[in-house]
Amino acid sequence: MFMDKISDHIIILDKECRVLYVNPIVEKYFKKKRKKMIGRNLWKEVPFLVGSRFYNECFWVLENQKSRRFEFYSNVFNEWFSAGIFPFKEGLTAYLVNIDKQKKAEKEKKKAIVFLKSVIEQMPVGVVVAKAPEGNLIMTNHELENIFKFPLKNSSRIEEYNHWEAYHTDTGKRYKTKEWPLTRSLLKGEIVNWEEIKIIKGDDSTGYIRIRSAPIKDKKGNIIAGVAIDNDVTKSKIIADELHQRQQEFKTLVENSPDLIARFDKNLRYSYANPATEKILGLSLEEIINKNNFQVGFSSMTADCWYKHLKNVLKTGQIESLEFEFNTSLGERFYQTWLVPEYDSKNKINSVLSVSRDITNIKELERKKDEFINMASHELKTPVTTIKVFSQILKKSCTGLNYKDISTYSRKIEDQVNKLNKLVDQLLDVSRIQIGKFELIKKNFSLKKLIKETIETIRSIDSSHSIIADNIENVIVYGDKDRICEVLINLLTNAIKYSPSQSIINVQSQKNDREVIVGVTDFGVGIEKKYHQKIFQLLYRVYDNNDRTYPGFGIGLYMASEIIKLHHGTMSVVSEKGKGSTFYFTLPLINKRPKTT
Amino acid sequence: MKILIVDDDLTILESLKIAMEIENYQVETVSKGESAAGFAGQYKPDVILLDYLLSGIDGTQITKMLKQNPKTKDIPIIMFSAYPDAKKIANQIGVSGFLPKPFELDDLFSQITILTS
Repeated sequence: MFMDKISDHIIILDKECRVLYVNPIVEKYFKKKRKKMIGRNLWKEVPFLVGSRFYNECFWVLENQKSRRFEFYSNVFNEWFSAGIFPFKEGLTAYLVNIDKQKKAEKEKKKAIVFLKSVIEQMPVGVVVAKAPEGNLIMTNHELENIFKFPLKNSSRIEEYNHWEAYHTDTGKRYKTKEWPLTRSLLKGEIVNWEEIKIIKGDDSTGYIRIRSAPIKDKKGNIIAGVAIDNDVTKSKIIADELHQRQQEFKTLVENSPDLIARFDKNLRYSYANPATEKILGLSLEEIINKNNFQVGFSSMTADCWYKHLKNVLKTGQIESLEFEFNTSLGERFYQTWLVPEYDSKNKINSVLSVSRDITNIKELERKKDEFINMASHELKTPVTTIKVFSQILKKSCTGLNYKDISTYSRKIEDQVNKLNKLVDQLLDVSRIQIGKFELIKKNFSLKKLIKETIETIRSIDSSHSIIADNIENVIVYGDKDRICEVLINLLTNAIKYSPSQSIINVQSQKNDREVIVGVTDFGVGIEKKYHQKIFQLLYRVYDNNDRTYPGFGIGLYMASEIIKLHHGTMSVVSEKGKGSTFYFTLPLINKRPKTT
Repeated sequence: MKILIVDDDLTILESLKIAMEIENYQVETVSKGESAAGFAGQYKPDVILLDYLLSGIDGTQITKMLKQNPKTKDIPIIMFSAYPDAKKIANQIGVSGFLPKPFELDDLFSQITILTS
């Protein structure tokens, strides 16, 4: 019988559900021989089918005499079946096909699609999949709606892509529907690689997206769909635009700067030079780039100096400065240069920026200041020299001749000349201090010895006061001995001058671990507290109660405090009106002295 | 003892000449820097007192000229000046002595004595 060869299940029953025929495959499923089943009630032979879908449908067909087609899952066999039950006069024929594999494949496909959808949904970029060739959107994700800020219709056709208001970033023209990357992939199979598009979003804000799109082809190479990935680059575009603008601003600044600005690579060759540099070197940018300083026309001495400092910056990361001379088209010019390290993202020095300023005029001014001091000194001292020589001649000539008066007078002239000379020296010192040209000649010396010697000098000139210096620390200080001597002379002569009715002056010193403090005390007129700071100012004079002042220029204490300051010390006063004053100065001790002098 | 004084200030020349002649020095003076070296070659002084800052050629150039001439190269030079940087310069060019203006005559005389003894 041909039905025996059919691999699907065939069951024929009479009205009483007695088995008329089953094919061999049914034998296998029911695990019963056909011979045993024929003529017997099927449900009694295979009672596990009672109550199943198939069982109920068989009764329905017999009752209604209508055929039924359906799919069902058998809990008995754990498989899917497609069933057809057809009535005939004396019974029914059931035809069952095992569709389990097919059903499971469909399920897997559905699962894959759900998985794909959820992956696409989770993607941080906008994704759209459209069917070719009409272009209806078959898959989009939330991020895409987020980018465009309006709901996307799943049924859109290519012609409907024009709801999206988009513009070419280069020409500013609006995108036509056929120009969209997705359309081009769908229709022409084009692969579009990150095309930047300006869009107007659903909330009317402007945005920038970059789109990548590609066709999806079947095995035969026909385009069946297209996929586009949309990346919202609005923020980075804004940052990039701002960066570009800042760069432009810096460029304007650097390119219009009168200072010479250049950058050196690790091989100490120019990687950038601003127009001021080009002008001064008399070379074009192309002629400067990749050259070293010797090659752009610096003298070998200047180029060597640059080389040394640039190397230091690369090695130490410290800012260096140097001065150099260059023969430009404007003549010999002086420049001061700062060399600043520049770091890459890994914090390694990548290049050195140089900024050079023309200091020719400043140099010239400094030279003029020096010259002024020198010439003022020369001019003032030349007549003094002559007066001094003549007064010395007079003194010498008259001594022997017993012209006592002339001798006395000439000595007086000489004293005054010496005073005048000292005054000139002081005025010149003040000028030097004020223009920063005051130089100290520093060395180690014994402070105790200097104090003793200075007191002796004062004693030889003035015998009205006795200067007591019993308590002097034996310390070595590092400084300009002659200038410290001037400070001591100034304090001692002031002490004498401002205590005319007293006869004692005390000098004492103390040291701690950092410095030595020297004090000069008198018991004279004293100074009101409100003047304590002012007395160290230039040209400041103290007046007494009767509005009288003492002779002097108002230079001595100013110079003394400036000299102490230049030694990194301090000067101060403790004084009470009518009781006297103590002037203190400090000097750092030798092992604590700063490195710079 | 023969002394040559070179200075462009006539009053200084005059005063120093008198002062030194009192001390029995034989003194000649030159006020123009240009003629100083030539005159020194003829006069052959024992010591030259040379101002640093002269109008025309200055003391350093005159020193150079004196040192180049075999007749004058061994004559001790005492430079004197009121120019503050002159002492430094004097040390650099290797003159025998330096005096800052104004100076004590006794200091001048003792320097001459030391240089010529």
